[in-house]
Parts: sequence; C-alpha cells; structure tokens
Amino acid sequence: MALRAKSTQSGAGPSDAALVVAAAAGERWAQEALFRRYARLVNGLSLRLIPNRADAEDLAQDAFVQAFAALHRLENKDALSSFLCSIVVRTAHKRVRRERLMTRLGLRRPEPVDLDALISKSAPPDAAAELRKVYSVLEELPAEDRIALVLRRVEGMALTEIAEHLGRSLATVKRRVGSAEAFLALRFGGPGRD
Amino acid sequence: MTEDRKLKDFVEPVLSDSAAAAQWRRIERRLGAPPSRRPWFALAFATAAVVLGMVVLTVLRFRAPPAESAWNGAVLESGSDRVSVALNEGSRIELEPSSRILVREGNVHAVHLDMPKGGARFQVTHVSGRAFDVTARGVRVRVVGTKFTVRTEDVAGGARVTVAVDEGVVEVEPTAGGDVTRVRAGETFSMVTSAKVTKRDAPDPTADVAAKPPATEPAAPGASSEPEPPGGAAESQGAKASARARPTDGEPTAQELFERGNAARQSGDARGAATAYEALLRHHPTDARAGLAAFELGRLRMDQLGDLKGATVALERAAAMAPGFREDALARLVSAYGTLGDQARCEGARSAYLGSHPNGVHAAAVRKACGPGP
Repeated sequence: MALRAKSTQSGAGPSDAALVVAAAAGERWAQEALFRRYARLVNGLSLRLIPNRADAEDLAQDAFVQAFAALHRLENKDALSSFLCSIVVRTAHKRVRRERLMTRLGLRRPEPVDLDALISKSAPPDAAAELRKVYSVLEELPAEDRIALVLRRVEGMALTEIAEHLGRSLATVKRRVGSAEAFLALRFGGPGRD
Repeated sequence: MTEDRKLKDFVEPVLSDSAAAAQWRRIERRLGAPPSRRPWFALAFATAAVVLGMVVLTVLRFRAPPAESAWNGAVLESGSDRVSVALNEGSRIELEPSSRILVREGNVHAVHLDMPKGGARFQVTHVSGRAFDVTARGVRVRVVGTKFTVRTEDVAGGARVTVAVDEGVVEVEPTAGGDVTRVRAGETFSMVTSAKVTKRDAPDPTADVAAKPPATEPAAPGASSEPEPPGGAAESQGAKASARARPTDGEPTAQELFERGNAARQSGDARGAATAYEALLRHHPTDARAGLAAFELGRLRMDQLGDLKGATVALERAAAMAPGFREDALARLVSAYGTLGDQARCEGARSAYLGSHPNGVHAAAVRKACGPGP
C-alpha cells in the first residue's frame, strides 16, 4: 500500500472534505484513503510525543480509530489535519499520565529513550544536540509540561496552536512551556526559551 | 533552528508500505469491532487506582509529617436546627440544635474535637492508626470506628456528659485523670463533671454504664410492676447531681443496685433485673443512674415482662431524666400507648417525639402510630 491517496485524473484526488463526509458515513474506502493521506503525519507526531516506536504505533492506531469515530463532529471538513493532531496530542497526554501511574505502582518500568535510533542520522549537530537535551528530560517533567515542550521545541508549534491541541488556555500553555523550559535551562544551563 | 527547519524533521518514523498496511489492517479490525475492545484495561486501571489509593494512604500515614489541615481551629456550631457535617474520609457529625464543636486538630493522623456545649451524634469511619477523640466538658471519648452520641447538659455545679454507643466500642475517661471505661455497642455512659475540672474535684470515677441486653435474651414470665417513686419524672438534674448515692450501713448503694440489675439482665434474668432497677428508683430516686435505670426497666417491662402499663410509667420517667434515651423512650411510649389504646397519650408522645426528633430514626414508625388524629 503506497502512502499516498488514490489520485483522480487531475492528480489532486478527492478533497479532505469529501473523504471526511464519506468516511463519517462509514465508507471504508474513504477511511483508508484518509489513513494513507495522514499516516505519516499521525505516526510522526506520535513518535515525537511518545519516543518509543511500539508505543507510538499503538498511539497512532488509537488516534485513527478515535478520529474515524468522531468525524461527524468535525465541523470544518478541511481541518482534518488539525483535528487529527489534537486527538494525537490529547491521547498522548492521557497515555503519559497513565504510564506515570503504572510506573509509580511498579507495574511498568520506564525505558530510556534510544536517542540514536530516534534522531535521524541526517540531523545537523546542533539540531541533534537540542533534540538530545529535550528527550533526555522528558521523563522528569510533569505530563502536560512534557507534551507542551515537545510541541513547542520539536514540533515548532505556536503557543496558540498548542493551547488548541491540548484544550488548555493560552495562559496555561505559557506556564507549562515556561516551566519546562526553565527545567531545561536548569539542567543544561543557559536561558530558557519563551 | 531556522524558520524553515524544525526539529521534528529529524525525528521521523520509518513507516514502510508494509508497516502502514499492517497498521491499517489493525485499525480496520478495530473499526469493525464492538466498542468495548479492551475490557481488561478498565479492570486493570480500577485495580491500579485502588492500589494507588492504598499506597497513598500508607505513605501519608507512615511517612508524611502531619499536615496542617484546614479543619484545625474550625468551629462547628448549630443554631436552632440540626447541622450535619461530613468529613473527607467518610465520618459524619450530626450536631443537635444549640451545639458547638471545636476542631482542635483534624487531619489524616488525628481528629481531636472539643464539645463544650450541646450534643452530637458521631458516625466515625475506621481509619487504621488514626486517633479520633471527643472531649466534652471533662470527659474524653476515644473512638476506634463506631456510631455514638455525646450529650452535655448543665447541672448544678457542673455538667452531665452522656455517651451512648450504637455500634463499635469507645473508651471514656475523665480528662482530669481516672479510670478508663470501655463502652460497647448498646451501652451508655453518664458522668457528672464539675464545671472546671481539677485533680481535686475530679469526676466521680464510678460513672454510670448501662448495657442493653443481647437480642437473644430469653423472655421471662410475666411479672408485676413495682410502684414508681413519686416525683421522679419532674426532678431536676441539679437535684440528681447533688444526691449521688453513698454507701450506708446495710443498704445497697445505687451503683450496687444498678450493677446488680445489669448483671441479672445480661444473664437473662429479666425479673431479677427489673427488681434491682425498681429498688434503685425507689431508694435512690435522684441518683444519676435513675434515668438509665428507668429506661432499662421500661424496656424490660415492655419487651419481656408483658407489663405495658408499667413500662409507660418507667419510660415517661426515662424520657424526662435520661437525655441520651429520650428519643428511644418517646418512641417506645408511642408504641406502648398505641397498643394500650390510649389515644390521647399516644398522640401526646408522638407530638413530643416529632417535635424534638423530626428526622429521628423512629420518625417514620412514629408518624404511622396512634392512627388518625381526633
């Protein structure tokens, strides 16, 4: 299966809006087409939020299932990308909180992030160094701070966008990002960002 | 990072066509599956939550220093109505009208309450390792996990403190020192304390403890009632307090009679118990134990001796003399007068009960009693 949507003769293929309408009606072909179109985006965001390949795949799978079940609530049919991102972010947040709980109960052992496998070999040294810093502190941050930091530092999202995805106020997101940046600065020195 | 280069570009999953196809197949299966796909998880999560709660409680109990609680120093006060207060861990305090409770300390390790005025019913949830006590005018009641009532009332030169236990066990001791008395379910404790308790005028350690008989107490053959001593129901608490029984030559003390009655009752000798209580009421009508003895006598006559008329006499006296049993005594009076067909007295007792205990445990039964009003 190629990770591209089936194209129409014009090459553009059906619009997101058209696929969303059909997928919301339960058309499996439309759901599959949307999956192909957004699999890379969803799996990529999942991996960056949960830097463990098996867990990230599981998260992506959950996100698609939830998205297809909730498509009828999507008012702007062309905003599927943002809709999917929000689902991934919130599901990841829940997962992180749940994993923290399991860890505290001794039912899960936190695994160190394999940074060499995670970070692309093509990453410039400064980008790789920055990614190493971010991912080395994630386990120590509160769940929401952790998600906010990845969205801000790694995804490069605007604070308003993060607020929208997390379902939090802008002020809350500023505090979360600020707190995470302060932790980073304390750990590695230098001024925090934001 | 430059604007056109983001860190995310260097963290990309390797999503091959075959991996994507496999992922789609898994999604497709879940899309076609019933909504509850992983019921085990809810169970596992609920179990984990319970375990977490236990862990948190354990940590709080054994490791954390006592936290300053918002309850500390709080004053619970009822006006003309009853007030019910629920504590976080499930305990409940129901203040009677015109009552006051000061929370000296209230946290996960200890609850220490002062009750300088009025009465309250406590339903205390057992929390292992947590101390819970109520101090009422010179009497401290230590609780393990139980339902009990504490009442205070002014008497001449001090206060009477009555503790009635519905469930469980409490330990009662004078705050100025003295013997610790364990009061079990069905028992009551009554003590007169001075207004300002000191070592010198510490409360009488021979306080009253009255025990209800076990439910399986055998019925005794019918017996006649002894005449009630005159004026018992109308005597003041001050008189009762000032006339505590003292040993005299050859005459059993009030305490001895009371203990004799309790022992007889607990051994199943209802007639013997009634005789002892009747003697106490006859010879020591103003003793602090008289109200409790009257209640027990009324109950014995009503339940075991088949003497309803005699029971009403004793219960009328108990309702007037034993605040801790007033509610039960009035409810029994309603029932007894109803059975005797004394409509006027039945209605009078019903009004008295509903007037003072509109939400009492017997309220529903009392409302149905006596039949329609005249």
